[in-house]
Amino acid sequence: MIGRRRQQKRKRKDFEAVALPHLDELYRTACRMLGDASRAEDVVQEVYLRAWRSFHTFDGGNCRAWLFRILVNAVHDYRRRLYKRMPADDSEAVLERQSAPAPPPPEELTDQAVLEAVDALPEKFRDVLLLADVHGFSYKEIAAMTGVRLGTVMSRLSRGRRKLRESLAEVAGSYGIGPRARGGGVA
Amino acid sequence: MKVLEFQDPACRRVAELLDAYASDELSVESAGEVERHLRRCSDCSAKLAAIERTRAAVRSAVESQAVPPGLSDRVRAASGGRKTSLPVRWLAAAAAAVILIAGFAVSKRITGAYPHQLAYQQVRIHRLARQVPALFGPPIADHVHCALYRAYPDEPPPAELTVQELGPDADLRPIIEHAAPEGFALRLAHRCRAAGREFLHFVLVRDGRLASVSMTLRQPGESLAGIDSEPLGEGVFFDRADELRLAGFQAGDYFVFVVSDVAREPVVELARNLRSHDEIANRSRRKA
Repeated sequence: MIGRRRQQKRKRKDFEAVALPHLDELYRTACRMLGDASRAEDVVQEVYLRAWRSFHTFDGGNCRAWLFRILVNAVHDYRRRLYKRMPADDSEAVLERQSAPAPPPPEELTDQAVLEAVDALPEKFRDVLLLADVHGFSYKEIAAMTGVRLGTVMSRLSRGRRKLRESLAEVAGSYGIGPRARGGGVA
Repeated sequence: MKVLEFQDPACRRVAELLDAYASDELSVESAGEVERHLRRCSDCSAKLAAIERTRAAVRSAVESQAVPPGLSDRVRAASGGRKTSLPVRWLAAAAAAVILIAGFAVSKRITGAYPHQLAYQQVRIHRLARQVPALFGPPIADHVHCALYRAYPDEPPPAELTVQELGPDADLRPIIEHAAPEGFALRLAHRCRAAGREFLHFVLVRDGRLASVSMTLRQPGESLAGIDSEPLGEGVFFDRADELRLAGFQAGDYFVFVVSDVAREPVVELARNLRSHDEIANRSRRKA
């Protein structure tokens, strides 16, 4: 009969083996959802805490989906707490983005420009876009994670993608690259 | 930019399906219908290409973001695990400390930060600092930049290293270790720079939370007297910014600050313990 301490240690090892490989993608997603690296770290810590506490209920299935569902809930909780102290129109978050570094030189429509455009999307579009386009979760999985109807997931994704294309085309256009700058057609 | 589009009803129908098609969510029949249309319609093909290009760009941009070093350890510690003890991490921190002694150096190894992450740090520091009087700003910057966003070792630094880094101020180390409340362990003792000031900086850890003790020389005319923070008595002042708790007092030629995301009590206790220690209360600047 192995002792209780060793049992606990083994369970901990199982948890870490299963959950830690997803740390980077959880962190990166949290950064985009909250627009702030240290808040993202706070939330990721919260995610692992919750995951560890509920590990006994994890059925060994899709760990990634399980962790991301915890992430979405934790982010929503965090946002609720945050916005209670701030005006409801998310203006603090907007202010932060304005303080971000200046856009890159024209030749490079860089990762930085893309990230800023993603961060500028309203949260409900951004969240769905991240889950679908970065992590490849299905509409059904996203609906389950976010508690939103399937049809709503689809429409938020379409609209989010379209908004993003528009803002990226604008950035490109303002730097004299892309079809718009030549007076051309739709991207 | 609205252009006259979708004159062709087939294009109109396919346009509605393109997003789902790109996400591989269509039934086999619908996907087949879309594909047959795309083969003979360059406009719709171009639209699909735009969707897919943007999708790839987002994915690549998000995945390109660096993750701060030590995140894994902090997360494991915070969720009840133990950090690994790899000698390699200690070497990284020692190397980082040397760079910091030589002057202020922003290196990815220290901060794990790429430019947009440094910008986030600065935004965060700015947001925190505006919640407190000006004199508390630099220790906040020191804590955020030099404690939160750096790798730190899993063990206390060797005594020789502290002597090397702090020189005549190395005597502070045991004082601070002794003044720390139950459960705190020293992980860094070094000189660093933040917000244009030099600090003697000590980082303590308890349950994955960090506490900084930062000492900086008082400039002529600087004083905490009359500062708009909560007085705790004996010249110690207390303040808060988001999740951080701060305490500060004047001590000889220095200001001493405690900055931490632990609760109020340990921060106050640490500040009071330090304040009541002779070697700190009357600290004069040591010649190197």
